[in-house]
Amino acid sequence: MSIDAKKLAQRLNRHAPKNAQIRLVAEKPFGPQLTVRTWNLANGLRVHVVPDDSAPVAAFQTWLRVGSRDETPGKTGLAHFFEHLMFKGTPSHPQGELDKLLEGVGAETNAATWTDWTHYYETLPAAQLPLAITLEADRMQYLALDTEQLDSEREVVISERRDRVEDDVEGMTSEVLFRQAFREHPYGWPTIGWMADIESYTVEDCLRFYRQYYAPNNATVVVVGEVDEPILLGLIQEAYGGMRRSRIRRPARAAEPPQTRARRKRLRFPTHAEKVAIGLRSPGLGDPDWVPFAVLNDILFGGRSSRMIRRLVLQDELVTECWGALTPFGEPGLMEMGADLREGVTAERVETILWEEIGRLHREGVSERELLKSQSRLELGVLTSLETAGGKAEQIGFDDTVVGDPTASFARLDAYRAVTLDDLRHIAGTYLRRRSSTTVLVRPTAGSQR
Amino acid sequence: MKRYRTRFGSDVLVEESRAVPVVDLAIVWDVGAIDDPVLGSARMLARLLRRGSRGMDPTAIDEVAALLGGRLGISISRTMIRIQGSVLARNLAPFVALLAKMLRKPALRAADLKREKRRVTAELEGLLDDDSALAGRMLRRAVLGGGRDDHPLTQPVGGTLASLREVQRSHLVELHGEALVGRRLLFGAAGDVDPEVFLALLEETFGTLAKGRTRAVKLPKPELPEGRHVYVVDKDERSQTQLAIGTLGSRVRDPDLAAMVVADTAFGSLFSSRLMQEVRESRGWSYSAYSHLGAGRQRETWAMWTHPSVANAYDCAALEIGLLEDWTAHGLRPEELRFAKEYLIGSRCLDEDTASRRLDLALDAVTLGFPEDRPQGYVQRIGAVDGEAADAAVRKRLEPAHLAIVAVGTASALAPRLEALPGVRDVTVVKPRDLL
Repeated sequence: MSIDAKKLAQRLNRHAPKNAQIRLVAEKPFGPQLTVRTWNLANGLRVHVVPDDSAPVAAFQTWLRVGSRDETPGKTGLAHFFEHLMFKGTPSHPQGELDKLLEGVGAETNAATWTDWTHYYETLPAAQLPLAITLEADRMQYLALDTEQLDSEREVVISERRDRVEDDVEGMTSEVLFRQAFREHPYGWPTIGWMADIESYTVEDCLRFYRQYYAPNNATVVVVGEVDEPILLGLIQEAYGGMRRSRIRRPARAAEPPQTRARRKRLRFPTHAEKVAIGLRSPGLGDPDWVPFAVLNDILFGGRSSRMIRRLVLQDELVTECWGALTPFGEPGLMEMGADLREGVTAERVETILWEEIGRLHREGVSERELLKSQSRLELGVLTSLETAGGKAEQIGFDDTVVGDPTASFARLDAYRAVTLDDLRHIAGTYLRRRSSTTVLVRPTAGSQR
Repeated sequence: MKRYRTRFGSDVLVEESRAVPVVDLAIVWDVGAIDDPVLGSARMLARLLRRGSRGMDPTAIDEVAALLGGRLGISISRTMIRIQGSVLARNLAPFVALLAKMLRKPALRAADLKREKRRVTAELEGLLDDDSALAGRMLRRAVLGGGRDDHPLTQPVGGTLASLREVQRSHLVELHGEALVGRRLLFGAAGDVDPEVFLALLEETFGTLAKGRTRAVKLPKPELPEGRHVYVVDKDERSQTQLAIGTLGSRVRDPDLAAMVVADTAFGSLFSSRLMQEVRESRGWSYSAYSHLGAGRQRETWAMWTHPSVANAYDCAALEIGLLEDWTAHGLRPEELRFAKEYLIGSRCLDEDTASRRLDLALDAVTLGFPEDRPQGYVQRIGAVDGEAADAAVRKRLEPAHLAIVAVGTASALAPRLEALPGVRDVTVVKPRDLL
C-alpha cells in the first residue's frame, strides 16, 4: 500500500461509521498509462478507481454478482426483470425521476444482465459524478415496488422477449441451442426468462431477490474518468456506508455432466432461408484454455480472411454470414457457431462443411501466419475496447465480476501474444469434437419465403 | 483538430491522442449512389475495392490488414464511399500503403463482380428476416417518394435485386476512373499519430494522383403524399408489429435545425421523453419507443418507432398520432424544452471524448460543406433555442395531416384495424420481397 493511500484512508475513516470504513486492497497498473486502485468498504462494497483525465467525462458502473444462473426453475428471467424494476423509483426519487435527473445533466444511462452478472452504468460529464453516486446508492437501498409497476414492466419485458426471441430467428435459434446443450446447468435457460415465468413474478419474488442480491457485499463499483479520488471516495462512503451486508444463499447449481453424444434439434420458423447453429462445450473464462480457444475461434471465424468465411461466404457461396464466438462465462459454456444460409441451401450442407473445416484443422493444424494474424486482430480488439471511459469501466467491472481480477484484460492481451501452435493443437483435440456438439437446424415454415 | 491540404489536392484532418496505441483512419471519397450509371454501381465498386489489385488473391487485402492488426470497413451513402479503418499504431505505414493500393489499383475483375452480385443479392434477401429494416425501407419509400420505388431518394443506395443484375464491369471502371482524383478525397486520422508522418505517408502513397475537380451534389426534392396512408408489410406469424409513423424531417442547412433537434429530443429521443413515457412507462406497450429526426442535404424522414403486440397495434398507433397532433398544435412545455437543452448540452462531451469521435464529427461537417470546426458551435446553437423557436420549427416542419403509417406484421390481423385510424385514406399491403 502506498503512503498516500494509507494517509487517505486514515483521513476518510476519521469520522466515518463502522460500515463505511475504507481500506485500499490493491493497486495495479491498468495498461501503460493508468492505474486501478481497489478499495473495500467494511460492509463489503468493492470500489475500483481509475483516474483518467483524457476527457472531461466519467463512467460510473455498478456490477452485481447475480445473473440468470442464480435463478430457479419457474422464476427464470428474474435477474433481468429486476434490472428493469431498478428504474422504477424510491421514496426520495419517485418513478421516472432517476432517468430524468441523469438525462438532465447529459448522462447516458442503462443496464444489462447476462448469465453471471447484472450491471448498471452511467457515462456523464465528470462534474456530475456525485449525482450518479447518490442515485445508484439510493436505488440499491430503497427501491419501492408495487403490483401496478410490476404489471406494467412485465408487459415491457414481454414486448422485449417478443422482439428478441419470438419474432427473431437468431434469438430463437440461440435459445434452443442453449436449452439443448445445458440440460442441468442454469446456462440452459434464457437470461430474459421463459414467457410463462415472466408472467408469474410477484412483488414478493422481486423483493426477496432484491434483499438478497442487491447488497454491498455482492457489488462492485467502478469509476473511470476525470475524478478526484479523495472526494470520490468520501462521496461513496457517505452514500453506501449505511448499507449492511446480506446473507447470500445462492441456489445450488447443478453441474452440467460431460456430453458424450452429439445432440440435434430441428426447428421450424417463419424465415426466408434455412439456418444452422452448432454449440461445442468450452471452458470458463478463467480457465487457461479459454485464451487459446479464443485465438482458435478467431482463426476460424475472425474477419473476412478467416477459414470459415473464406470457405462458406467467399469460395462456396453458401451463406451470407457465418460467425463463431466463445461465451465469456465464469463456468464452462459454449463455442457457438452459426450461419445465415443463402436461399435454396440446406442446413445439412453447411453443417457438413463446418465439420470438414474442423477436420482439416485436426489434420493440418494452423500456420504461424494464421496465428500471428489472429493475435494482431485480438490485440487491436482489446485496445479499441479501452478507448472510452465507459469501455475501460466495463472491462474492469466485467473482469472483476467474472474472473476476480479487474486488470484481466491486460493479462489476456499478454496471454494472446504467448499462444503457441501446440496450444492450438491441444484446444482442437480437446474441444472441437462432434460428440460434444449440439446442433440446431432451422427450416422455414410453409409460405414464409415470399 | 489540424487541417492540411496535400500536394495532390486532398484535404486531411488529424486529431492526435496518445491514449491508446491505435490509429483510426477514414477516407471519404466523393462518389456515391447519385453517381451511379446503373443503380448499385457505387456499391459494387466499394465491394470490389476489397477484392484487391491485379495479381492479388481476392482475400489478400483483408489478410494483410489483419496481419497488421488492422480492420477495415467500407460503407456507401447517396453521395460518398467511406473507408474506415483502425490499426495498431506501429503498423500505420504499411496499412496506409495497403489502403492506397486498394483504392488506386483495384483489379475490378469481372469474375469478382459476378460473385459480389450474388453475395449482395443474398444479403438483400437476408433483410426478409429483419422487420425493422423492412419498416425503414417502406418508410422512406412512403415519405420521400409518395409510395413509389422509382424516386431517387427512395431507391436503396446499394441497389435493388433488379438493378444489380444490370451493373457491368465497365460501369465500375468508368466510375473509378472519373472519381479517383485528389480533390474528391478527404483523409482523416485520429489517435496515436504524428500529423507530419501521416502527411508524408499520404504523399508517398497517393502523391501521383491527379488533382482533378470536385463535383457538385444535387439531389431532387422529396415528395410527401397528401393525407395519411397505411402500408402493411406482410409477414407470417408475427406476434408483434414493427410500427413506424413518419413524415418529412429536416435538412442540415435548415436554419431551424437546432430548434428541431431540441424539440425532437424533448418529444421522443430520451427515456424521459413524452413518447417513451406514454407508450412504455404508462402502458407497457412496447420495449422501445422513440422518435428520430433525419437531416440530410435534402429533407429526410422524421418518424416515431415502436413495436407493440398485434393486439395493441391500433391503440398504440392512435396514441402516437394523438401525441404528434398535440405536440404540433400546442408545442412543448417550458420544462420539457429546458430539459432537452440541458441533455443535449450536457451530453456533448460524450460525443467528443475520444480522438476518433472528434474526427468523425469534423469529417461529417466537412463533407456537408461546413467548416471542420462547426461541431464546436453546437452547444451555442442549442443554447440559443427558445420555446417559441422550437414550437415554430415543429409547426413548420412536421405535418401530422400527411403521415405514412408503416406496420411490419401479419396483414390479415393488422390491415383492417389500422384502416380505422383517424384520417387514413387507404391501406396498401406490400410483400416484403417487393422492398428488395
